[in-house]
Amino acid sequence: MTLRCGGLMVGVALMLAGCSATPKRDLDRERLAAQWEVAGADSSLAPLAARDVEDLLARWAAAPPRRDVDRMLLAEEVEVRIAIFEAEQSRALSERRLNELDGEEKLIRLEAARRDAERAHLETEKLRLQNLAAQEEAERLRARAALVDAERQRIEVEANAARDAAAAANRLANSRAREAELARMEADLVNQEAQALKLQLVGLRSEPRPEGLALVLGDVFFASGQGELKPEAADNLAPVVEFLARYPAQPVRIEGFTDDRGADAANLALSQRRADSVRSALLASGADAARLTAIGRGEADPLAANDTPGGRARNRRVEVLVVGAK
Amino acid sequence: MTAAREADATHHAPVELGAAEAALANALAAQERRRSADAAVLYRRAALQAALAQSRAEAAKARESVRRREAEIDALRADLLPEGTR
Repeated sequence: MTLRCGGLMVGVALMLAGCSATPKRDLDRERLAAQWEVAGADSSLAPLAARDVEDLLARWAAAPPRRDVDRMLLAEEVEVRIAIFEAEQSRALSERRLNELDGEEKLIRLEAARRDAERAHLETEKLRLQNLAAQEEAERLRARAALVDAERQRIEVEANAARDAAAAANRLANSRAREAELARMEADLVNQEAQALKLQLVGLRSEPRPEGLALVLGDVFFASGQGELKPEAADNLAPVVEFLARYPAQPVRIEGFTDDRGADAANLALSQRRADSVRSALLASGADAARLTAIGRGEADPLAANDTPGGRARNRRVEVLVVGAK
Repeated sequence: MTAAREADATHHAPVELGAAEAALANALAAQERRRSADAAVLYRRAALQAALAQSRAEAAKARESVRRREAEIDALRADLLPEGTR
């Protein structure tokens, strides 16, 4: 620029030297005005710098410098002012571009934010669907667990029922086994009693009494407190019948006795029933009814003292007395 | 001149700044020789060249800012709006 300005000054000086005598067109001003017409076509970006140029050109047109040196200096200043205008215009364009870039950055960030929001929305939707699927799976598992639990409860109920049935069957079996055992024991007992009665009857010996001979039937021939002979005793009175047959002419008196426990009247009645029972059994075994009498004597004529269980057992008896036998 | 230097004309407009400094030196020399008219012209020239140096330096810096900013925007776009993400 400096060289350019220097050249301009030389040119202007030469022109002034050659043409100073006659008025002529101001070629420098016209050239610079034409240059400015192109360069300053759009002065909106640097209005102050443009005004400086325009003021100079206007001043030059209104009052052209008289001296060449003044014209040269003015031309130089106009050229520099145009250059300054161009620099200011360039700077303004750059600043405009910077503003555009700021806007572009905002748009980029806005678009990025929009994409982030869209991604977040998609992610949220994805999570929502995943959550939904997880809920459905949980519901399915809950339903499955409920089914399994119901099945387990059903099996448990069935197992309990089976256990109860088995326990009941076991109890029934045990009960029946106990019943069978009791029946067997009872049968054994009855059998033993029958055997004992039979042995007693077979082993009966007559005992002398003041009025004759007597066969003594102990209380084992009767159920406790009962007046009836036990069936097994009634069926085995053959030895007694044989004994009576040895004395066909003598009368027979059947006497019942008790111990001293209980009321006298009750004991007397019990002894009478027992005597009657023996008489009936003998009659059933073929004895002559005309010879047999039965009498209850209660607590009379004890064979032993009543103060011991053994003594009372001996006193509870029925005697078959053959009157007058020796 | 100070404003031109502060605008970093030394780096961005060294020719214009050099012309301004030379004019200033010539003006001072003319003043020392008591040639006031020449000194005034040279001072005026030095001021114009300094103003030109400042404007061109600021314009160059603005262009440099634009280039830097464009590079930043390109990087930002590549970072935030990578290709193939739509």
